[in-house]
Amino acid sequence: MKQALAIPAAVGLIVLAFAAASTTPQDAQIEAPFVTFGTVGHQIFSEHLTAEVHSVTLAHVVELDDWVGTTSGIWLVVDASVGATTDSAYLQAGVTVGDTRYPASSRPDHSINGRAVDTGFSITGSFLFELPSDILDRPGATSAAFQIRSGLDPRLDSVIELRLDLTTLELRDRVTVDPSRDDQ
Amino acid sequence: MTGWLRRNRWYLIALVALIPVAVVVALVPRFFPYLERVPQPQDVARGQVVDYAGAHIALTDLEVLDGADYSAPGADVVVATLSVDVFAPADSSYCDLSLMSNENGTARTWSAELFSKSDYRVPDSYASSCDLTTAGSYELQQTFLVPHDEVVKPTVQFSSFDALPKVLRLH
Repeated sequence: MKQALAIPAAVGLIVLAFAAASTTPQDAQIEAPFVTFGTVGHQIFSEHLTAEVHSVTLAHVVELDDWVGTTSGIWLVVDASVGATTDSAYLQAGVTVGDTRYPASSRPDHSINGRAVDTGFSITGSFLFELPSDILDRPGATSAAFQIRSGLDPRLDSVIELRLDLTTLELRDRVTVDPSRDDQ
Repeated sequence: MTGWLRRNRWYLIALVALIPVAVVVALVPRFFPYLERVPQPQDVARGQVVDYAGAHIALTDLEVLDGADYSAPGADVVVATLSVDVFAPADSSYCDLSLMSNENGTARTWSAELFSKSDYRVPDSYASSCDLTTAGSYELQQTFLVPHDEVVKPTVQFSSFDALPKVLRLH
């Protein structure tokens, strides 16, 4: 009995060891952000943020105050209201298309990206993303991930995410957006 | 099979005992560093002077002002005033004040305002940022913008890199 079990037991333990080693989470998984999914037009609640995306548009030119944003690509304009729930937030947004992440543009001075939001308050404004001109033809354009997070470091942070089909969005020649403003 | 179990019972018992031991051993390298980093708060009543990071520190006043009176409708302005007497200057310049509230069942934190969003102005006789690197005493005042009527009993957290993980909770 003992000899008959020894070899299968040894093989089983080796298989278990490989399984344990291959399934051990890496830092990227251990420290991955907690994602809350939502849709346009609905209030979304994460641990640190609340957000409502009002509209999503594509445009060749964006105007914001005196700033006129031209680009060789196209702009993705996301109008949203975002609030901080438990800690002050430093809003950071990005759009991931396929395997490529595009951070919100820092070119306009008064976009909502990079704005600080005090706990218990919310602001409304536009996130602007400068995307390649052929973005609509790229893999992943039908399921782009728009994310808002509360700081520069997303590790173990709560993140709000909306899936966007860029190919169904209206592409306009020129869009005028309002500067970000406090909601109070 | 019963005979096999009986013959190997001590090995099986050892295996059952060793599995939780292995889990604990695996967690130890993360758990103790975590314990060393997690804030260790010391509660301090208003007016009480405590030694912290080489300074005598006291919360002398903590006011919640109606933001409507300071051109900040929908908000309140929390004004924290502290007395700081540095007797052993710290090596690190990092020194931070934050406001905490655990009202309405939610723990919330505010950073001090770098630029006031209300009309309240810190008088010139007060320092507007803390400094524990220079010997001497001064009065420190910082403001926090909070939602109107949502913060009634705030707590000020005072921390210095030299004294972490110990932090003061003044209220």
